Amino acid sequence: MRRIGPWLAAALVVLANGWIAVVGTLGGLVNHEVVAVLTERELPVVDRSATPGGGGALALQLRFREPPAGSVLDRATLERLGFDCGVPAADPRAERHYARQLPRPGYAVLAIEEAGAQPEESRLVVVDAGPDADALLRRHPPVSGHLVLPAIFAVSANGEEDVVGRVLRLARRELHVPARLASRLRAPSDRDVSGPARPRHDVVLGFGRDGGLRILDVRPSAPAGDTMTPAGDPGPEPGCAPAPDP
Amino acid sequence: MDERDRKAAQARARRVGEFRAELDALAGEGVLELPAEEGARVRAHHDRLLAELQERFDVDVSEAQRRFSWGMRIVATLGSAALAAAVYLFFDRIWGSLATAAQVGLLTAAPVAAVAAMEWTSRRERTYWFTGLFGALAFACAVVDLNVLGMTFDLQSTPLAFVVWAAFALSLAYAYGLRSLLAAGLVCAGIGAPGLVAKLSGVDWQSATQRAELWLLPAAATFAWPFVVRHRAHVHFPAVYRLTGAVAAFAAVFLLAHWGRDSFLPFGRETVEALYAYGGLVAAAGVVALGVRRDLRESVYAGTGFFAVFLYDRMFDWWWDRMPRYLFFLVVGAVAVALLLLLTRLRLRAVRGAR
Repeated sequence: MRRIGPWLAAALVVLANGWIAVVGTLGGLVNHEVVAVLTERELPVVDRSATPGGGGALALQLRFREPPAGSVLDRATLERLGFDCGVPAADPRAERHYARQLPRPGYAVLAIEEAGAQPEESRLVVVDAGPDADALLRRHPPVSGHLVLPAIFAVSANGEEDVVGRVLRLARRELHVPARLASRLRAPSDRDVSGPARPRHDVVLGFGRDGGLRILDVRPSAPAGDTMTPAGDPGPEPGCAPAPDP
Repeated sequence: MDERDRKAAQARARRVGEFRAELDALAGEGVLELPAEEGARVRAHHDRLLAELQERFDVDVSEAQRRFSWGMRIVATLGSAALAAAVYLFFDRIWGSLATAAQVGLLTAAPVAAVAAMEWTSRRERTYWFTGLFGALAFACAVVDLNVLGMTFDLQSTPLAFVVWAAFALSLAYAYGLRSLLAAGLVCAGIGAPGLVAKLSGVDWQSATQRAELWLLPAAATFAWPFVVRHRAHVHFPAVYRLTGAVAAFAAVFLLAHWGRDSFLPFGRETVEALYAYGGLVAAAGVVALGVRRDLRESVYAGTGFFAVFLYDRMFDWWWDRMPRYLFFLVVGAVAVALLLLLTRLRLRAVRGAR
């Protein structure tokens, strides 16, 4: 090739892919100290195929419930996340003041709470938040079964209420299903067209070195269905729990 | 091949065609008829010239060829879209059964192979129809590549991906003089650069790039770039810069004129929306004036189009609820007639200036 442009373009692709492969592989090396088992209520299957039923990749979408307004994301937490909460919510300038503020990244702590969850709804609920993952991990150690995940937070003011914070989204909303596990999720089930009759799989999760969740295993749900169990123990004990090193 | 030479060759071929047509018309009207010997010499010279221009630059020497060229442009665009869809759907079909290493290998090979195909075809054609087609395919593969790899390794989204796509598209655009890749690269750069600034500032970059006010600076910079940097080798590129910048800036202004709540300006929502609504009108008129003065066709088109959009938007805002519908459309029609009269006068003035 006589031109430099095509060489540059090809080198960019190779370098970018190499960088992603290295960072992704190293970051994805799972630290087995923390493992949580969640069901289809929290991790429904997302088929990434362009055509329904195609042979494309599968992913699991991490679903959670927002905490009641002001309970977790109070003014102090929002200020720790970097928001300027200096204008009272009742102030006429409040709507514009908070609308101008862009959402900010931080960390959300998720835990399983059965109370208040509808039968098909995720039991994962946000119980704490902050800008520092290490501080949150000290407050909610992995052995307590909490998940500390990077998330994006937003702030707003609605009339007389106090300043309202919310988790806009998790930074990683979908978890890639490795090819070796995908077949278990594709297997025929008792699912009907209107949705799952009952959760049909449990997913064992682990934290990667980059702090992100990774899928370790997928197995059929216990007959009781929506139970949370420690990895390696298919019993019906509820809760998000650490697992022994496999 | 230098783009300037090809543009000059196309202009010469067009002038020859017009000269011949005018000479025939003058002969028919009995005004001028070249002596047979001189006429034959001129015709033979032009025949040789056109043959040489076609041989060297593959220029269109007739109206029929020009129409074919437009048809080929459309076919090339559709073809590149279809090829990109074919590659994507093929990968999609086999993706779930591939190991991660094979996925990385395939994703890397696809854009590199398309770039190699660009280079191969560029050495065998003078007008780069197939090179452009493979260029669009290479860009589509590069976009799919980083997206799918990021998902496969569960990585967080990053504005760096847009920077990589911009660099990829711009390096190919400048290597082969491809305008569509230039536009794609500019759009990616316009998202990636403010996204990086937002990320470094500690805010969510995706939310930042959805705020129309943050498009304004990159759009203005894109519009102004060809006034600062001359494109001697790529004479068509300045128009792409100006058009991309103008469309992005006017689209941002239009959005802010309707959703001023998201503005960073320290004013109330109504004030912000009014500022952008009237500012858009003034800016569009300014771009038209600049385009007329500097003979920038694309600026005149973009400015006129958005001036009409902003004006009709204002009229809708002022009168839609206050007037009977028939009267509203009558007023809109009357304004269109007034605009047409104004543009006709401007056009006449431009024609007189040219004379």
